[in-house]
Amino acid sequence: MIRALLIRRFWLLGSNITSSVVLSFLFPMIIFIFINLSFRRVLVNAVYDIDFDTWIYPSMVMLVSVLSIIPSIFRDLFDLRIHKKVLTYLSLTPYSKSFLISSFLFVSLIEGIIMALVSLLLYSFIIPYPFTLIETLSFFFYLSIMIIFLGNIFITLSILSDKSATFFISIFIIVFFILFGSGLVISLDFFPLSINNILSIVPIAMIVSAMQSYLFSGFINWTITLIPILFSSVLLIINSILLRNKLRQ
Amino acid sequence: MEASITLKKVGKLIDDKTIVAGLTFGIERGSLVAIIGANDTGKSILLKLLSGFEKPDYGNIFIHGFDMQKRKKKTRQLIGFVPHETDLDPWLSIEQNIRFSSLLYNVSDNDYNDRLDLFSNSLNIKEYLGEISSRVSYGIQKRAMLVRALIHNPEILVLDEPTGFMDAPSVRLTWDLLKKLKGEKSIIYVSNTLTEVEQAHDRILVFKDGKIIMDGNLDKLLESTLDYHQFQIEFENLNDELYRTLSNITTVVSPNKIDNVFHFYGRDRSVFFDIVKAASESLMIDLSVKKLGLIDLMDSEFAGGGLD
Repeated sequence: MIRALLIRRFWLLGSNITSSVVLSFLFPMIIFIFINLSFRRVLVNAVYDIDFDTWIYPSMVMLVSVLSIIPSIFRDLFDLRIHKKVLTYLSLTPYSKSFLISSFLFVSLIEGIIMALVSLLLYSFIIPYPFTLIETLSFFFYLSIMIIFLGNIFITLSILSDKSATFFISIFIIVFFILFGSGLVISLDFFPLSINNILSIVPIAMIVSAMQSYLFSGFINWTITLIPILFSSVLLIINSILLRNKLRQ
Repeated sequence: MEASITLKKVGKLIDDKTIVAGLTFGIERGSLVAIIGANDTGKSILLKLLSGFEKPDYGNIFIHGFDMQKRKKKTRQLIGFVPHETDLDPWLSIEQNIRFSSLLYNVSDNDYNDRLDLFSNSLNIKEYLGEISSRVSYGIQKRAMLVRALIHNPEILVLDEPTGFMDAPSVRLTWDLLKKLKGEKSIIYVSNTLTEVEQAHDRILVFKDGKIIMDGNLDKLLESTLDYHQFQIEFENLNDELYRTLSNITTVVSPNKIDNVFHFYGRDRSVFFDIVKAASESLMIDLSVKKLGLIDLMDSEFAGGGLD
């Protein structure tokens, strides 16, 4: 199934090759302009004495990567579901719902990683690359956790929403949270302590914190690395049940 | 004959309304079975249950002896389903849609090419394979869906309105193919086109209120019409008085009129002479008598009220 979904994704990109390529390059540049250039002025003091470009580099790549998986999940699990196309046919194939959800997540992971590589390539022409090979690999490890976790959240929303307005408003809230409440762009230390305490136990913030902890101090925090993985596993099971119930199978 | 599909007390409720009510029946391997009935009687839901599209609220469905709920992976491999509405990926070409299905079912490249060639030729869609599916007509999409359902060589075909949206030549091609496949595959289909059902069936299941009310081949089903014939007599002027007179003849059953045409059922042709006597002063323009068919059997007033 994974092979079938990957080939299908490739066909879909191929059928809109011009817009796909243009957006693949345009999107990282938009993120660079609105995240790097604007926040460079706002956040005058770099956090923890880390150079601003170094701080913001993985955040920009992660943003490009996780936001780029929304369209394919929206299409496959919301748009085609409410229009009774493809997904219902997929659900009749000899695979379990959990395998179906895992396959969608795997395809999103590949797509997200490709977008991350494209944005890394683009940014390398603009700002100096600050990380070693090991740090880069660890970044991709945390990026994968983030894609799987947020992919699961996007899938949950796609299955639960029956109207596009509901889906998009929910996505907007989550994107807003990723931008400003996860520590990805603005460190949680800027928030009042009580808010900081609440935000830091949200799995998205945990992944960001674990990534920054390793990239900027070389310390691996296993607790906040493993908790989001555990959450993702639970969400995968929940999504399988939700999909089964939604399709009345 | 060995059973291909067996239902044991299968029921389906939607919002506490019984859609399928405790069905128990079997379908022989290699047979062509038509399911007919009025709209909203649960025919399509029954097909969805048989294809695994929906699960029953109670009872069991066995596909080649395997319980559908317990052996999903095995049973789904055995079924090819074509829903009523087109469900192809609108942004992929017809061929990509079919190829996608073959990849999902792990069909080898050789088998895929052979089957695509065979079925796309049979259904005459070869020239459309490269077209984006949303840009071709529904009739072509429906034929492509049939090829897609056949690409993994299922032993059971479950088809909801197999010739829906199709023009006359496509309908003929589709039935030619399905009749060729009969025997090799079990084919269960729902259709509202009763003339097609009369031509293509080993068995007809008549569905009403979630239950099978008649089961058998066309001759067996028409036995219940007790040799009635359908008469249509066109008068120059069929006024209300004449209509009342004719309707009151005891051998005339279920009379009605459309403009100047008097329509009724009668057990033997002698009823015509009763009409001639009663309407001796009126000018008759045209007459037709025909043996009853499925359409008459399914006519709601006729089937609901009966003839006797």
